[in-house]
Amino acid sequence: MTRQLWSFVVIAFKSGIRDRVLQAILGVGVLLLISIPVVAVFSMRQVLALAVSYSLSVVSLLGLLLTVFLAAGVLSRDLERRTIYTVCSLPLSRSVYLVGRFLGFALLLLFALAILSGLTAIAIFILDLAYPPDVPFSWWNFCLALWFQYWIFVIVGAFIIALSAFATSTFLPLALSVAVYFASFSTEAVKYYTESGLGRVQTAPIIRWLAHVAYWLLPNFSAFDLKAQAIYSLPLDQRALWLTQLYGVGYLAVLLVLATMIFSRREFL
Amino acid sequence: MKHVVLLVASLVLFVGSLYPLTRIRGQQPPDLQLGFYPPAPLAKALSADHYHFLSQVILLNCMFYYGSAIERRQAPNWGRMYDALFTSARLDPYNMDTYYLTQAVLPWEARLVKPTIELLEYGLAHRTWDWYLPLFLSFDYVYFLRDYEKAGYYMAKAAALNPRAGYFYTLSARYFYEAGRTAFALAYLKELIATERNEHIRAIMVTRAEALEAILLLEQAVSAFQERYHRLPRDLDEVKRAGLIDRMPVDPYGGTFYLDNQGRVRTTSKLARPQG
Repeated sequence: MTRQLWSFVVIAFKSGIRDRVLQAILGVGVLLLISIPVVAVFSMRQVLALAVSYSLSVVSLLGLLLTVFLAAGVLSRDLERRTIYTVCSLPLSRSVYLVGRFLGFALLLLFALAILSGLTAIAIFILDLAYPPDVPFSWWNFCLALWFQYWIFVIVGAFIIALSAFATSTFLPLALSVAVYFASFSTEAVKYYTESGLGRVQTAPIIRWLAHVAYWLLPNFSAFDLKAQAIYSLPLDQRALWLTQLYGVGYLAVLLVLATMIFSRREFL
Repeated sequence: MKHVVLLVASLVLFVGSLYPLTRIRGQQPPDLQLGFYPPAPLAKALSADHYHFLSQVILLNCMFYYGSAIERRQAPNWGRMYDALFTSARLDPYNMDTYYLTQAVLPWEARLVKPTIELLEYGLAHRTWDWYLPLFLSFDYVYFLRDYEKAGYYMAKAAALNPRAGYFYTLSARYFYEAGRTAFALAYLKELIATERNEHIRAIMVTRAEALEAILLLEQAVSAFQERYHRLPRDLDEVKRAGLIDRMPVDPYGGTFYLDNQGRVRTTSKLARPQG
């Protein structure tokens, strides 16, 4: 089973590398990242902070585009080309196929983000030498911010794949997953607000209940957002980081298990 | 051939419209160039995890807006500019550029001193390591509001965050003295003298403390005179003749102590060594 899983991972990775969309997005990314020094010098007092902020935003934007385009094709391409029937006729579990394709997407995304992060790091290294900040730049914080950003896109990708497991159109999983991406950055703030003194007065009980439900159902991406720590070299809460990583693994596992359960029962006609 | 003609016609239309459009857009009122921003919580929700960069974008727009207004010799819409800076700060409270531009422009040209102070205090609550913010606050309180007590409080904060700037300590003690809290200023300096390891800074603080000790002695004598005679003394010699001080203390800065027209003890040295 491990060999079968690994085969799907490799196939997904190799086919994704040749994807023109991936190459185009990386090309755009290179152009945007070259503009880091040009944008950063507009800052009055914190050139490096602006460079880090801009570069993390570029990586985040491109990461979302990569996730949407790569994850959307994981199942839909096989369904459209009818190659899924060939796969399902083989003596292997549909779960292995789905998880293998997902891991291939995750590996491909890691590869693409590593390229973008590497280019970002070069620009930031040069600017750190030219414009040293008052508080020394923390490369560890920067790497962690990128790592947890990668986990955001892995979860969004898992969402797309899970929804694709039962959706009949390509658009619906994409639209819903992007909506989940945006909403998931707000669920924590909304929950804390509804629990605050002012929130309790201003919000109806049903709204507070919905805010709690949304907080538990949707991934809490605010916990994965370490941009402030990377930009301003703020101290990290180690315990919170470990819990966030565990939370990410757990949430991902739930998505993949649900996806495999649905996919295993799907009829392809 | 048909394609070439169509391409040329399209390019003429495109280039021909872009030139006048660029000119018209450049003549737009600066207010439109500044843009309109939703409240920070909404802007944050809509920008997913890009709100740090959005804060910088808003700040850059404010800079360009201010520059354009100055170039055209027009008064900027200060209210809208403050709102934009406020939104920028709420989106990213660690963004120093926002506070820097606010301090550089708003209290001077727009006389928005209290809103500036409010924004700087918000920044100080987050940028707890940054001595520039309490320095700006101290300056605003003393220069614009003549609130020496608050100025002293924030200057002391700046001194604690930047101990290499030894004059921050003595300046904060001066502000406390100007606020009529000479005893507090003296106690504050003595506390610092006990722990200061840099001899040069220590020497500066010791000199200031000696001067403040002399002033405190005279202030206590003036208070005793007022209690006894129910009026302020005409000058410090009258205090001495009343037997409330043995001899006139010496100003370590080389000046002479006197009473101003409000009965405050001052020195001709203004608590500073002569230049040159």
